[in-house]
Amino acid sequence: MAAGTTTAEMTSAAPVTRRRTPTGDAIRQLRKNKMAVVGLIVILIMIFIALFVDTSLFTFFTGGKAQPLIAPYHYAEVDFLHANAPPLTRTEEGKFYILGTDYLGRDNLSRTLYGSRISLSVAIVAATVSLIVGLIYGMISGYGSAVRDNFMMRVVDFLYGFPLIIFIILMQVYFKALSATDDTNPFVAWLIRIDDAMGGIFLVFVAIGLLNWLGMARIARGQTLSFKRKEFVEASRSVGSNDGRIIRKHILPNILGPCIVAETLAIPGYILLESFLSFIGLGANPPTPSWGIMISETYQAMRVAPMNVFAPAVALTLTTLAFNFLGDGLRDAFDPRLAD
Amino acid sequence: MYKRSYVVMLLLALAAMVFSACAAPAVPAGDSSGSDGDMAGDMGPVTVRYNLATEPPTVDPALSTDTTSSAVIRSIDVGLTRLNPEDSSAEPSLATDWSQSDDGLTWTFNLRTDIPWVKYNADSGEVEEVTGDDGSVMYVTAPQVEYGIKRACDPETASDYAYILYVIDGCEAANIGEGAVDDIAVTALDDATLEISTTYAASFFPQIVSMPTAFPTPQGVIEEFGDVWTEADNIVSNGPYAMSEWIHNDSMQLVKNPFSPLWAEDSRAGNVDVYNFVMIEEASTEFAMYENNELDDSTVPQDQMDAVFGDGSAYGDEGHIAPNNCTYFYGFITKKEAVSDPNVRRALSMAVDRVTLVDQILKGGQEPANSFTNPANFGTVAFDPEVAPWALTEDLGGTGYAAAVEMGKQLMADAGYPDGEGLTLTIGHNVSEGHARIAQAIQAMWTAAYPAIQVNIETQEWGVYLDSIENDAPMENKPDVYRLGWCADYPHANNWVHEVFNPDAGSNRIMITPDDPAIGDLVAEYTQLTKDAQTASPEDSLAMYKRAEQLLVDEMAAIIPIYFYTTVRITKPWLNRLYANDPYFEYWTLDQSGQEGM
Amino acid sequence: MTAYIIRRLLYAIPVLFCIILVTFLLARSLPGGPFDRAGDKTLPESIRQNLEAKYGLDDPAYIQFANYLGGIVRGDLGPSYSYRGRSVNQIIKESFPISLQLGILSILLAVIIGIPAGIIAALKQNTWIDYSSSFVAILGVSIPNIVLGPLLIYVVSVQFGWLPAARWGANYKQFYFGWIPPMTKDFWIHAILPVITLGTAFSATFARLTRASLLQTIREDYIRTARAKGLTEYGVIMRHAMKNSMIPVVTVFGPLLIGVVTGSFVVERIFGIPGMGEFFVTSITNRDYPIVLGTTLLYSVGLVLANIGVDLAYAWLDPRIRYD
Repeated sequence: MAAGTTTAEMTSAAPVTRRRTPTGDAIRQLRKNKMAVVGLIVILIMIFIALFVDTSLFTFFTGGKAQPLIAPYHYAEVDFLHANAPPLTRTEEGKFYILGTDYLGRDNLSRTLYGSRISLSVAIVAATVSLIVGLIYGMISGYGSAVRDNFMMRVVDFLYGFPLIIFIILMQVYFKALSATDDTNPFVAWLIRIDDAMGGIFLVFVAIGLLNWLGMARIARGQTLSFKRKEFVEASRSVGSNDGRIIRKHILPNILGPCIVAETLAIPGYILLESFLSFIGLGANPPTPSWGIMISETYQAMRVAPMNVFAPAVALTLTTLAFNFLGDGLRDAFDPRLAD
Repeated sequence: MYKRSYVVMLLLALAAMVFSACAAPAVPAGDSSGSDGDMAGDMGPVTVRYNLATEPPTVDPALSTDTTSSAVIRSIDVGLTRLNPEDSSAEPSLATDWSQSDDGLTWTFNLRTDIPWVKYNADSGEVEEVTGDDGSVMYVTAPQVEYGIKRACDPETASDYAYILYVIDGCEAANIGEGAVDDIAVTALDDATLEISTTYAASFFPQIVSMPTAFPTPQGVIEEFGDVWTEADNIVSNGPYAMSEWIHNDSMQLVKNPFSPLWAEDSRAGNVDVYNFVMIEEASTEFAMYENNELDDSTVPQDQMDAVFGDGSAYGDEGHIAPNNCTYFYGFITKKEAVSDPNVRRALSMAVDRVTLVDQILKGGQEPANSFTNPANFGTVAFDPEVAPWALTEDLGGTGYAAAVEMGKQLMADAGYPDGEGLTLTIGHNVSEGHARIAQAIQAMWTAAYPAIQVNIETQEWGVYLDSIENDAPMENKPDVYRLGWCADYPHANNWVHEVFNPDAGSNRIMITPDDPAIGDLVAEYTQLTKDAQTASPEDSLAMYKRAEQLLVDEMAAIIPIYFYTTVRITKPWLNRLYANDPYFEYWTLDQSGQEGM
Repeated sequence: MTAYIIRRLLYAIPVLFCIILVTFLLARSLPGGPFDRAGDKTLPESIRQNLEAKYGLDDPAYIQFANYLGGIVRGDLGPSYSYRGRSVNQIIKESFPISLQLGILSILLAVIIGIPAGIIAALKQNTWIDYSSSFVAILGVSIPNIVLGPLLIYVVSVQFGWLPAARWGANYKQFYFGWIPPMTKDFWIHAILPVITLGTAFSATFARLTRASLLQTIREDYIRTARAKGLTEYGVIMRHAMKNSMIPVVTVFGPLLIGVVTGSFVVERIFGIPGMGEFFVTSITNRDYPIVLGTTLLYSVGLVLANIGVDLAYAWLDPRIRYD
């Protein structure tokens, strides 16, 4: 075992064998793990809710104001006279609050459903960004010379030592200034529109992904190192394949599986990071709901209006459990040595 | 090979031991207040368990700026004067009486000289008088007050609150490095007489010297220990209590100073021998400790208001609400395009349903505010229906909310934004659960009153937020509407309308200037008015402050006063305490049998 | 071996230097300074200048940085800006042992829950026993501390009155050698709730590691041999498989501890524990640069040492690994 082994490497997937695992095998293996299947179903339901909680998926293209679709009410619709209402409250105005209301009289069910949008998308955005950056960095590091490898890994060591919160505050300042400028570039304008829709934390989580690729880089590097000496890679090289082709055709397909698995297991971490940032007040702008914000807004009310905190907390716990089980199942599936 | 498994086994065994050990003891409720809790035996000292909520950033009087520090300092030190807990007037403390010269510029304070410096002796567990080299007891004297004030003004001390003393002749010059500290016009004529000259005739000066910044400090100890003179092992003090222990970020203990004349002379004095302070920041945790009988007094978390104060409260009459000399307000950055029209600003202020906000959301007995200056100050016009009547209910002679919104709709339409059409605003506030609630409620109120308006809320981390509303910050970084609170340094309108918003004197974050095309004349009038009020006779100044508030809140409509703060506490039935702006720990009484009975 | 450690430490110096430099620059690039305000009030320009002069913030940045480095060489991390009269050294000395105690106890709890859960899960792969033991282990990480902490306080302390609601049962004046808390009843009863809150969040890590590692080990040839020798299944697992599959589990302890100690902000806040976690967050909000740098440095040094420790633990546990 070489120097510089860390937690990230060890918590990651167990080493993958030289054989390529046909995807079919993996799926069959995955289907044996019932909890992983349940996890997958839960995640798909959550994604469905996030997409269709209101009509904004359509109005994003057609323009106009989005209307609630799955959610009974809009997340910012207040009802001051029915604040902290208990579940199953029916008001004189004919409103029906299945899970009660929060301190401004907003429907807990609606906010929890809307919350899936922020909580899931920040996690998936950060995971995707970190997967891409980490994969590329790790492959370059692992595939190249020992000197380059050593240097690139020292850079990773160095980035590990940073306080994340400073970055997050800086990025919020920076992105706020960015959104204040009238950028004519349609891509930037589009990004800012998404960012606004998500309460100003979309870009922050893009940036978190850009910072959190370190563990991924280490996994990708380790995997690349072990594959680049394999017979079939040597064979490919001997018939004249260049580096690009070897990486594309032989290294990447082999290491992608374990990396995706590791990233799936990292998603709950991002969801919890969002709730931590909300707790210290660096989450999305109000009144945008995310599970983290809803929890940190209402945990003090646990005793007087328990549903205010339990609704988002159960949603958050279910989702992180689902990702954990799916990730564990995927890892088993991608590692043929663990098959029974 | 065996070695390796030993490691694992050892770890597991250790862990098992740890957790079996901690599963065993059952704790009787009430005996869990930490190591100090069991001091209270039958004849033990009267002990109050109280949460300071945070580590006091300092207990050096010259450096104190916050309420936590000041609560501790006012218990262990005395100033020339002290504020009456009822009406905030200055009453004698170290100074027995004082007089103002005919031109109003010079103050003479006559001091008592029988208050000794004391120190807690950890070995004997007693508070002892400090003695000089010759063995005689050292008393607090005028030269030490002179030293205290000069030290606070000295730029080397770098006191945050030195500017409070800028009213003293020479203090500002010394503090900004343009004059000598020796030239500050504070002179001890003898041990019992102190003379102070001010730059203008400030009627509120006796209240200013009640602030810790102007307290006497022990020169010898400060010079001996430097920055750490305030640690429990080093500190000498002279107040009704002395510090016996300070465990940073965790707890502090104050014990009664038997040598303080207050105990014998002040009829309001209480009976508490020991204060065990803890520093719990989380309000819900503090409340849980109160319920678990680990504290005798606690704040009431916002969400518990109904439970504590509602009908049939399980807490009986343990809840207490008292006014607090602070005002919560929204300010407009008047140079921002969206809010540059005073009619728009008034319409927005009118559409804030203060009563609903206070009754349905805050629930802490706060008062809806129609003026900036809090009712507890000299020169206030709070609840006066001639000032912003649309912010007041009909009961108080105001218009009520429904009528206010109708007026607002008209103003909004006149300004070219019918129903708010075309108006986009950003409310900025710093990170805090409470601020977020209020911002979201006001966003909803504005949207209800002006359906086409677009209101965004932007939450910023404190430092970033304050930076963005500084006057020199780039305009595009500023929100249109910003949130802040203001608490009185001393109970006088000057500390409000002049020191906060006068464009020549205050921080003026609302950015009003006399060349504003819409309100320039009003700004000029305001600027002159609050300055003149400083030297006017108290009777004359009342009218001037009223006019200033009318300008600020209604005609210029540069701020939206929202509510006047309250202190909301829950107190065990066996503790009788005051609910003033400062705790006044020396006036609390505790019934030990009640506390023991739990 | 000694040469290897020295080489690793020397390697760490440039990395640490860069971390200090970049943190120094980043912290100062945050808008707002440490002396802009007192509470809700902003301070006049002249007051701010006095404070900046007192703490040397009016010097050019490179001189400030050089002074700071000089301080580090002397072992002085500078004064705190937000707690007047207290030094960063003192703050770390007072609060770090508490976080460390909380962290170690939490990880022990995580081990106690996680390892058995992992073993059971591995031996009964893809059965309901596997699922339910994994579920228990993963549940801890899935419930946010912000929910679990107040819930425990409410149920255990307020409803049943079994345990104190908050605080740590020992303080820095009572620690033996400055690190070890007195093992009093007071200490343990205060530790239970925060340790459960924090510890359960890490049980999944151990369960997952144990499960994966054990699954691999029981397919190794020597385990087959052991089985062939006729040992009972229990004997095979306990005597042979466990030893080797524990290697990654034991070595994860150090780096995880660093993460736990620095990541305990929420638990420390909720339980009113005067530990280090608080300073990682509040120092940044207060723009208390010396504490920002001091805590970052502590974290990085801890990480470097933990990583070296991991490698050494490997060498010690697995005779096939040699460093020279």
